[in-house]
Amino acid sequence: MSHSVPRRTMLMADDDGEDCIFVRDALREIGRTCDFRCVHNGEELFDYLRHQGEYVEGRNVPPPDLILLDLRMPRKDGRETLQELKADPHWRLVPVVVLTTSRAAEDVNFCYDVGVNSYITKPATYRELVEIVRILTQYWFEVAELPPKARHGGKTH
Amino acid sequence: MSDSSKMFEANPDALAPLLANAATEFVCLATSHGEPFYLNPAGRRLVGLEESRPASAISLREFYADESWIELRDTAGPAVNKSGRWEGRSRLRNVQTGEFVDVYTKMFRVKPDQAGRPSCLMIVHHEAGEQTGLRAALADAQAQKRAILESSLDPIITINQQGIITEFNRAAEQTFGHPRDKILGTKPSEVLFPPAMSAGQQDRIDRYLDVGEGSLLGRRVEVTAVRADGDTFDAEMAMTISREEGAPVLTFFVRDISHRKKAEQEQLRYAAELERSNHELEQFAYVASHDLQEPLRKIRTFSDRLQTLCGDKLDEAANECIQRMQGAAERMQRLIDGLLSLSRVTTQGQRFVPVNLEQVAREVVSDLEVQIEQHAGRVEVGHLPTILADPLQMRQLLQNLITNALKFHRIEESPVVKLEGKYLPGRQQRRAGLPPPADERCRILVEDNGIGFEEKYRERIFDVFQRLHPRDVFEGTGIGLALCRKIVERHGGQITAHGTPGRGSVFEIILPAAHLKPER
Repeated sequence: MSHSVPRRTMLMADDDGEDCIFVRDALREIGRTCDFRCVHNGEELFDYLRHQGEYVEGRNVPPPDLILLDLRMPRKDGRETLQELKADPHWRLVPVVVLTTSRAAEDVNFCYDVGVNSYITKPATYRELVEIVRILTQYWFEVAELPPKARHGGKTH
Repeated sequence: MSDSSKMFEANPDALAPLLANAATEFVCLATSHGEPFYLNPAGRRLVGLEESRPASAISLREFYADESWIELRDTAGPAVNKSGRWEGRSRLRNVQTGEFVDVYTKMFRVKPDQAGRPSCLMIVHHEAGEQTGLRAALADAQAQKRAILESSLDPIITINQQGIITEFNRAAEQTFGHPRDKILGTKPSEVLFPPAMSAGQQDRIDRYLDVGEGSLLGRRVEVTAVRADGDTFDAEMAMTISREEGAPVLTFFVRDISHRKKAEQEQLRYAAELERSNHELEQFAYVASHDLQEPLRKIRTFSDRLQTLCGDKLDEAANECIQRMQGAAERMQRLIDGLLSLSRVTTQGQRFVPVNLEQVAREVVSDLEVQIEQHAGRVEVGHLPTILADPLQMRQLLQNLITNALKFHRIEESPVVKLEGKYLPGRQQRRAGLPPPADERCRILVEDNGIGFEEKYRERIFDVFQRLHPRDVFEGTGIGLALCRKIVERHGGQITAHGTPGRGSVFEIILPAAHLKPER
């Protein structure tokens, strides 16, 4: 692809399909062209990243530039997933934003303790969500300077 | 055989005066007509008769109280004539002092002997006052002891120095289920205590009996005892040592406390159960609130999107429906938030630290500035104490009460809210530089001039989701005061309210000023 700004990939892990749709629609609404991918729990997230399970072919599985992570998910929940991501030398530099309904202080503390890049509670209205998606993509894809290793975009491995 | 014994054997008569003179009893010999001819020294002492006066010179009558003399003459005399002897009680008179002495009397007829001496009368008195009195007192004491033993509701068991059970009262029979006659003669360790503990028990009892002291002395001890059917039960036991005919006797007072123990355990179990169920309820409220949030968020998001996507294609009525739906969803959100904050009072409570309530109140008033101005109201913060409390919850408490007071104002009058507080002294004195005494409390009054309420609602207003007014008159969720009560209760205090319709209301909060025991 020949964009002056490289095409970014956003990977969302959330068992709630509707929330994924909201984010996808919000991205569309703000006119952000980015590769948006969804997985539904922590296990699937790692399958995606490590080209395992249904992603074993490794085709059309662009590595993410930003991971949106829900906390309450079946099988492997967000806290466990986050901990594992931030302990993984290959993925720990990729920004992870927790997007959850939980406002519990212990969740917020835990996430920042293990190195989350940002923690956001899911907004009650769609309008607020659109605003959040606008800010997030702008910040992490344009404003923030990240170590080059964090950018897996365009590469396969 | 010695010479003297041979002599007395040959002439037993020679013994009689010796014996009579040595006797400690009153011994008198009289003719069968009642005329005395001999009175021994002990008898003379008893009635105050000098040695110089011969017995034959006196009349028996002067040595007796009148009623005794009459009895001797009319009853004893004929009885001796008939059967040869009489026994009874008499009252002697000391002729010198005039004092009376109660005596026990025996009269015999002495048969005529071979030497030709005629039949005579022998009168023996021994002092009855002491002997029979003692005997009677002893009998009384025995009867009393018996009565105490038998009427006692608690088992009483005595053992002798050999550790053998010598007494086992009725209550003991009932409690232990052993009949008295089977227990007497056994050892407590064999029948009354379970084998596992009776060795130690026996040691302690032995030591107690040996040296008259031990760890059990003068204390109530809790032991495990065993009934005839093998069931064990908790008993409380006290012991006392006494002497019976010189030997130590141990008395056990036993009380079956199995009912009390059971009740105590029941109470503990109940408290634990209550704690658990309270905890569960809090967990439930917390989790439910979280899980309820999800679908609600969806309703709000979808209705929001619906309006964004096709609001301009819908007519006014349809748009109003969407708006009402969103309004309802928003209210639901507030209810859930309220429930959540209610469950957080205990689950997310902070540690208790010194909190200056006056400062907190001023901060709250400053935060509520806009609201106070809107109502053209005034909040007067008087002197409020510093107490040990959860600072965030104190803030929430005061904020809710002030907001409440502002909200329920009368249309014709601008709201005036007054906060006052003072310490209620405890039993201990307050000392400078030290935290307030543990039993010191404080009272905070929040008074307003608003719409008030009827007294019959003074309890209900603190219940969750209870509202006295329709939503379109006074908005709210019915959580605010419930939250206040929960916060106050977590701090070990009480909150009460008094209202006069159309005049205003007063909320009174009593809080412990210091907490020795931090909340869980």
